[in-house]
Amino acid sequence: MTPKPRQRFRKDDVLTVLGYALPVLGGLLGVAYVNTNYMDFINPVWAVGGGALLGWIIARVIRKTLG
Amino acid sequence: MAALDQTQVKEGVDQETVDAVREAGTYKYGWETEIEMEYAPKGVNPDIVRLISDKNQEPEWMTEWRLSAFERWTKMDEPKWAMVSYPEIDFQDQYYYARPKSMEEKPKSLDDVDPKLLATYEKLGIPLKEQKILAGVEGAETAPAEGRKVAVDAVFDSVSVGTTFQAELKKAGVIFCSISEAIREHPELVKKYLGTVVPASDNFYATLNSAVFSDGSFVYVPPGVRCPMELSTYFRINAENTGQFERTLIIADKGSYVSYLEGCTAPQRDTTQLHAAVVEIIIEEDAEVKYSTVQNWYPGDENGKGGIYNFVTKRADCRGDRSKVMWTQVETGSAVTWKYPSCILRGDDSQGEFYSIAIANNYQQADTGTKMVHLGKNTKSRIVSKGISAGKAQNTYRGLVSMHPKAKDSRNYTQCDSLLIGDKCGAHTVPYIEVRNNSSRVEHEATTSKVDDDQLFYCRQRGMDEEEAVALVVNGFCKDVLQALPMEFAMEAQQLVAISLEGSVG
Repeated sequence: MTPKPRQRFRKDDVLTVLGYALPVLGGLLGVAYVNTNYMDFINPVWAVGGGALLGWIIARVIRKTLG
Repeated sequence: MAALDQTQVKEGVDQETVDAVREAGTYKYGWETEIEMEYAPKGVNPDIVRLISDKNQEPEWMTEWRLSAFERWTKMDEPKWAMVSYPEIDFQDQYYYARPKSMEEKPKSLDDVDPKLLATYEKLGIPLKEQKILAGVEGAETAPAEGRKVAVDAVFDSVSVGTTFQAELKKAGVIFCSISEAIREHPELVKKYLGTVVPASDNFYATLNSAVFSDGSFVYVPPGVRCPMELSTYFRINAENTGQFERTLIIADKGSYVSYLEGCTAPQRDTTQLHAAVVEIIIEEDAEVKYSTVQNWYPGDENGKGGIYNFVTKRADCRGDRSKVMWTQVETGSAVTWKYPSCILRGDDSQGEFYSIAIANNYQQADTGTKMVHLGKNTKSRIVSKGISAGKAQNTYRGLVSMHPKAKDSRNYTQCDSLLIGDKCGAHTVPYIEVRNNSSRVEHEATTSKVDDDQLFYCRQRGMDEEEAVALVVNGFCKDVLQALPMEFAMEAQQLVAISLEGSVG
């Protein structure tokens, strides 16, 4: 029996990467928001943490939906 | 520089090189235009006030306004609370009105304009294209301009020489002209707004200005209009023993936006001269105004002789909800500076920002800062002030943050940094904070530091000389404020910061 050729991008790989990439992206967006809207006086710690948490939740939802 | 004058120049060195070396480290705009001037008699009295009003062909109500201001001024005392000291000013021993004789009638063609006046603009770095417009030549406004457009109002001693791009601005509904022209052409707007932000009785110098102001700029941006270009005013003092008293009135109607720049220079003289200006800004609902200043008046020589006394009252009234104002100033010149651009945050959710660099070298004295008066709900303000002292200069930051009882949930952040170069200069910080409600928050951060030897050593290791190294460190120290300046001014300001500190080390 010949093994199936490995797909270049497997769905599992993408979903795994999303779990790491989206929290990082969320954190970066949080930093960007704080810098562009500096007159909102948002604590950068909350913005970065909130962005990362939001990214993690979105990644979880995607994994649950597609996985 | 005196030493350089006595130095014998070696054979083979061309005159251009000699002039370039001579110019380095001196005040770049210290030259004088020899032009025939027309003066009002010396001193200030009701007759002089009437004469200035007559010269500007003002209506009766304006003359009365000036006279009542003069009457108040005679009963006022000069403020002494600022941390500056200077010999007593003889207000009766100077001219209050001076204009080039050639400006008696507005010239119709470039050939009619006094060539000396044109040469002045060329030397100040105003492009030839603009010269035609400044001279009031008809049709020059329609010629295509290269690059980004900046409309200029040039004020020479007591008169506005001309305003560029008026026709193009008019198409957008923006009125940009001299205040004397506005009083004649748009009296209803001037009457409605003049003195409503800085009342004629506000303070000693503002009251004097109200009585004798000769010219200045007027801007009106109609509702919903984003001004299609940056507006700017260039103030030049040329005549000796003459004070400059200009008045600027900016009105940003609902939902409008305008960015305004201001620059100023004066000749290098051993005697001091007075500059007392008033700037009023009215900002209606959802409107935004950016006001930037690069102040480069003659600061006096290295022994503190001469220079301009710069006593200025600037105030913005954020009347509408969600209105915004941003003051950015780079103060490098003048012998004595007394200036506190303020924001009255009256509308709910309105915002005020203040960014300042104040550089004092040799014997310069600067007492500057801002006032943020929070009246509306959820108003926000931010103050970033950088003071740099070198030589024997004294630099004071004086600021007021006031949260009124109705200003619920308001915020302020103040950052006030001082940098000392040398051991004979001084930096002083005088913050006033008043909070009259429980839901507002005020933050104040302040630092005082000196130029770090390690930083200088690091730079010098990389081939910089000491002055370049100091300029680099200082520019880094000021970067928060320089970033807030419009692109056109940021580069100029950066160079100015370096030049202002020449000779401060070593």
